[in-house]
Amino acid sequence: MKETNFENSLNNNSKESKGDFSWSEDKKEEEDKLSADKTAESVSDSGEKIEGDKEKAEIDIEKEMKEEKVEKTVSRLKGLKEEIQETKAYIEELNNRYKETRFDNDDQEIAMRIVGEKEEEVKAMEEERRELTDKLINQLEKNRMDKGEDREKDLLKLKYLEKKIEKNKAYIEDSNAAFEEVNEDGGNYEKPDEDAGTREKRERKQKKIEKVEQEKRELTDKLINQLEKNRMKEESENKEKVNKGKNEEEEANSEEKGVKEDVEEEKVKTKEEEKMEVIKKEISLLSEEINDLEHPFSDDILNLDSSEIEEHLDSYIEKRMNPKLKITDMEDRVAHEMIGRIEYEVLPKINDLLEELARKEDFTDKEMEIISKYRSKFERFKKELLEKKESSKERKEEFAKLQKKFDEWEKSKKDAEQEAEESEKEQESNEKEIEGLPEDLAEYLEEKTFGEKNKSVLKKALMKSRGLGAALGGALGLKWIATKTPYLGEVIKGTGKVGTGIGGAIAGVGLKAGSYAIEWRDERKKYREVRDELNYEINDSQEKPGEVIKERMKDLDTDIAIVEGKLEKLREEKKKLKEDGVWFFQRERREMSTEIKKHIKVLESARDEFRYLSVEMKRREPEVDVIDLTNHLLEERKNQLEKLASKGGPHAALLKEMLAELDKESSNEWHKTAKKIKGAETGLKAKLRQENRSMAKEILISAGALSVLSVAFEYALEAEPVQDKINEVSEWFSERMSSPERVPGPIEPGSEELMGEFSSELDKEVFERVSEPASEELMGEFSSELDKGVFKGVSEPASEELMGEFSSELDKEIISEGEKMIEETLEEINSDLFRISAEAAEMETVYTAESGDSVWSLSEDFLSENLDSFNELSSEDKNYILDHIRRVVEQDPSRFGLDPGQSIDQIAIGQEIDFTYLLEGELEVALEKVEGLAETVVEAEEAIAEAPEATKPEAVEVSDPIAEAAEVEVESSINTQNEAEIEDWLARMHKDEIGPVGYEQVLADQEWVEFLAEKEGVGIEEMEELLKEKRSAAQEAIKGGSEELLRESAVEAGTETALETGEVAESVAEMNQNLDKVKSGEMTGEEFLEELHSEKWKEEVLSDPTVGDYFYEGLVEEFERDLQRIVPETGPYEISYSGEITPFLRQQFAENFNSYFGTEISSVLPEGDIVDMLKAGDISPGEFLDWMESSFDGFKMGETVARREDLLRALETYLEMAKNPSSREVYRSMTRALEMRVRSFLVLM
Amino acid sequence: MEDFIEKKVEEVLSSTAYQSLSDEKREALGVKINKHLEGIVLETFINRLSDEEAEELLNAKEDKLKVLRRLAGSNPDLAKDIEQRVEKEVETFKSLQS
Repeated sequence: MKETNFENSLNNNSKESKGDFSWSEDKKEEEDKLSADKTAESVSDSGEKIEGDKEKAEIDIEKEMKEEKVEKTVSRLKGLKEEIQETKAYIEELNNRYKETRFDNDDQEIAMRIVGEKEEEVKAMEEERRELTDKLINQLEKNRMDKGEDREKDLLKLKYLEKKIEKNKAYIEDSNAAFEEVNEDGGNYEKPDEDAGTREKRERKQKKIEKVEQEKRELTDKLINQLEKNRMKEESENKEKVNKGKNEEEEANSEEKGVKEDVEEEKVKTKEEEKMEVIKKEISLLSEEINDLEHPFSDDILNLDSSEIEEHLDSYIEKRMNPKLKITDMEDRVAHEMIGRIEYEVLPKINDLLEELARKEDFTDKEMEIISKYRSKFERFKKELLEKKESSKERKEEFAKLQKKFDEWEKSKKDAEQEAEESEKEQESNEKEIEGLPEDLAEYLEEKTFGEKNKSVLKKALMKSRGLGAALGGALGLKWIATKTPYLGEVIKGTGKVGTGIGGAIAGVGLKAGSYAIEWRDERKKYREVRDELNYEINDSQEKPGEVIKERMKDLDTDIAIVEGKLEKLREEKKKLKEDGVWFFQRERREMSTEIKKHIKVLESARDEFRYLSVEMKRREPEVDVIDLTNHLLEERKNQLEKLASKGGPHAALLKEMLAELDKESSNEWHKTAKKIKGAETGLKAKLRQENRSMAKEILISAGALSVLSVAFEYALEAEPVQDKINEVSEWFSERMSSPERVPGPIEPGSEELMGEFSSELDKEVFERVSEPASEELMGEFSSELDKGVFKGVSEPASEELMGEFSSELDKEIISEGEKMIEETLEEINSDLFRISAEAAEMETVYTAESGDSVWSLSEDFLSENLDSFNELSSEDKNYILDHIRRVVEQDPSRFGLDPGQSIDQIAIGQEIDFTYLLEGELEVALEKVEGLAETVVEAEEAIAEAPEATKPEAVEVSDPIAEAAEVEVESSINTQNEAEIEDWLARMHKDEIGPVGYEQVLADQEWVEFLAEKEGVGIEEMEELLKEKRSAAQEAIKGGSEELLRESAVEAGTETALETGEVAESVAEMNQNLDKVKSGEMTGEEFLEELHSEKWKEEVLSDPTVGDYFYEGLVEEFERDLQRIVPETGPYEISYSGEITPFLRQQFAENFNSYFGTEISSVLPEGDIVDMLKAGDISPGEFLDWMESSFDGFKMGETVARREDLLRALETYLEMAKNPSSREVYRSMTRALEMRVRSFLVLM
Repeated sequence: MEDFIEKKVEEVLSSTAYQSLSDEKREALGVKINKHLEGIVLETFINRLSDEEAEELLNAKEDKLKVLRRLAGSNPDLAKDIEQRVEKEVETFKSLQS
């Protein structure tokens, strides 16, 4: 009765150890209960915290799962868990029994059976639990979704369940281990033999348990993922929670750490990415808005309150209605920015209307209605603009905030990327194969092919994580972009670097360009690094050199596509800009145009380079010859042009049209015009001459008529009248034609008839000019050949047969030499033609000096008569150009037909100056310079107008004392130490070109007399005598001249000449004294005007018999202008200086400066050097003026109109603005303006 | 310009690369190169036009030549750019057999 023994044994032991323990079928329920209790105790002992969690979680579950279904499931789950625990407790008990009891085989078998049964039960329960867990999880999720429950609680519950399961599993495992231990060594007991079937069964069960556990884990993971996904979805939908969410998630992460660490880490990263995506989108939108709004609103306008703006605008409009009220600068600027923003087209109309109305004292009803209408319109604009302004400000602030946040994120991301890249690079360096490239880069290299899809490939590459940071950075970098758009330089290898782009002035363009550029640059950099390595490998092996070229071509092709895309964008931007507001964005458009030009040049260069590389590729092919290569180059060019012509836009259409014509025969218009691009006139002349030459040659050859030769020659040169050559050849020709040695050859009649056959006027002209009978007959002789020549375009060389018909060797020589001479002459002329621009062909370039002429005046005549654009320039710009020309002439007078080394200050009457040399580039240089100068001046004016109120030079706005001083001094004072000027004066004196007033002025200035005496090599008294004699002679000469002549002279020479020519000089001198009084403050402007317009003075002037009303009126105007310059309030501010600045003057200026300050400024451009020193703080404006005062007698502060404080203020203002620029443009403008001011001091000398 | 191009063509054909060619081939090649350089001139000129100028020239009817003349004359850099590009082309042609 083994079973009985075993049961007894159990009962006994149980009674001994536990008291009430017994083992029978009847007491099973009791046993189970007991077991459950013990298990509960055991769990409790194993970890109080977990128990606490358990209780909390269970409470939560019960509390939260309100639905009946959930409660039922949970209840059942709990029951199952208890059963599992009970069963496991039983197993444990059983195991304990094993340890305590020595089994025999039967006992063991029974025990094993029981264990097996229990394990079966566990398995069934686990299965059920798993199902229920799934159900519960689903239900939980459903409830959470439906009710919006806190996901944190779900996670906590799940965590609890997880731990509980783990605990139970561990418990089971421990039991099994204990069981195994018993089985293996049995302690003190004999090891029972477990039969194979039982063992297998147990192991199988164990595996099933593990499998169930695995499934559970997977499901748990699934739940976690699902929960996380939902959570992130919620977050992305609600951007307000972005910032807050980060902290929450960090907390959550720390709580959940250890549960699913790897998964969480990845999720956090994704979450960051998503957050930044949201920010990125927002930034993008904001930047667009700001771009749209930024231009018109300067910062100080943005900082004004709406009420302030409204006040300014109201005030502005009121003042526009009343011209007596002065509009303040801020009112003007507010109106400018606010009104102009929207209604730049309407505003002028409003202004016109208001101005018109302002002139009236009373308004009609109709006018009041119009005013009212515009007022309401104005109000509407104002309101709209204020809204826009506020919006702009808010968006700008928001943008700045986001940008900061994004920058931080980007920086951390980039750091991480950099680390990753470094590590990756290190790894790569150990791998020599191409496969070792980073995956995305390898893909990029592989995918990058010729053709249109480059951009999409690039885009794709950029979307990769590494490019993202750079791409977003580009979208952000308003300021950053301004200085970092070097992609063109990166892009075009070997075709020059294009520079820094248009910069921040065009935020919109910069924004897009920068984004694009930075995207490209980063990718490009990576690509190049690896590509270089790749090239190195290939070059090293020397096996596939063609591949290197191919790579470069691919590279270049991609570059071209990129730049083309950018160019297209620029053009669109410019177009849009123009449509948006031509009134405001002129400068931006100008900069864009410059940028567009750069792009175009780069593209030209890159396309050429591509073709050259293509030829290099071709060269690698075996047996390729020069013809193949040439054809290949030509073919490639054709392909390129066809591709270009197939694109849209006017340029493509034009190219298409022109190229199509070019392919046709040369009779079409475009073909002809293509040859005349460089100065169409020159081209036309050249073409005409070419045609004429051919014609002349044909006539000559065909007819063989000697007399025709001269006609032909002249005809050939008709397009380019080079009289000297014509004369030279004509003489040569006449000489030979009249030679007694010449014997006429055989003559046949028929020339009359032949003449009739010529249909064109051209031919008639040729033959009409043939006057010698001999030649008529000669022509008859060759009538058929002539026909061929004229009408059929025969151009073969003169045949020996024809030549043989001539009767004498001399004739042959004449024909032969004449033809040769034509060729040589034309060739000589042709060689120069390309250099001469279009104007040269028509304009008169040789000017003859008349009385009073100088290089300056002749240059002025030449330019004003031949160059329309010159006449449109301001007087300052003209002076600039003329000064430039004067210096060019001075450098090498021989280039202008003057004697080498001749002083240009001594141009004799009748001497000729040929300005052709100017047309070979010098004029362009001068024009370019003056264009830059004009632009700078305009910019300076604009910069002053736009400068902040605090730094605005008020005085400069209305008066520039330096410039005034320059003008006045140069016109009225002759106390210069300019040697060249003295020599010039003496030369004019000896030619009797000085008027009596001129002598008067000199005689009144002792210093000047001394200079003249020294230069003339005579004593001072002798010089004075000489001057007095000359003065008398000049007066006599004037009196002797006719009044009419003087009138003409006065009209031509202007006021200045008239001042020297008569008795009127005294009256003028009197008025000049009055002017000086105004300058010194002794007389007011009003008093001066009273004197000027007085009848007394008029009579005095008109008492001079050499002048009339026209002269008087001119004088009055002149004095009024002088007054305007002196009295600031009476005239507008203008930048001007006059007088010539010679190298001598510059040298003297520089030497004096260096001597005084102990420096070494340049004598080539001292003004520039001084400005640099001022800017660097090496000298102060005050020190500079001290030097001027002490060094130059003519520069006495207080004695001239240039008061020291005014000069100082002007200098300091410009210097301050140049040193503290609000923008690059202002800096440049101010520097230039400052330079001009210092330059004006040179004139003062 | 015509002479300039002619000279450049002659410069190419008289270079080492083309000296071994027969007269016929040289002549035929000269015509092609001439046209090629004219194309360079044209393209450079067109490239220097703004959109508006290109439109104007494209739409000009009878006075096309006049418009072209004006536009060509108004660009001070045009001649220099053309010369540079043509020179570079010529150098490339000349170096083909080197």
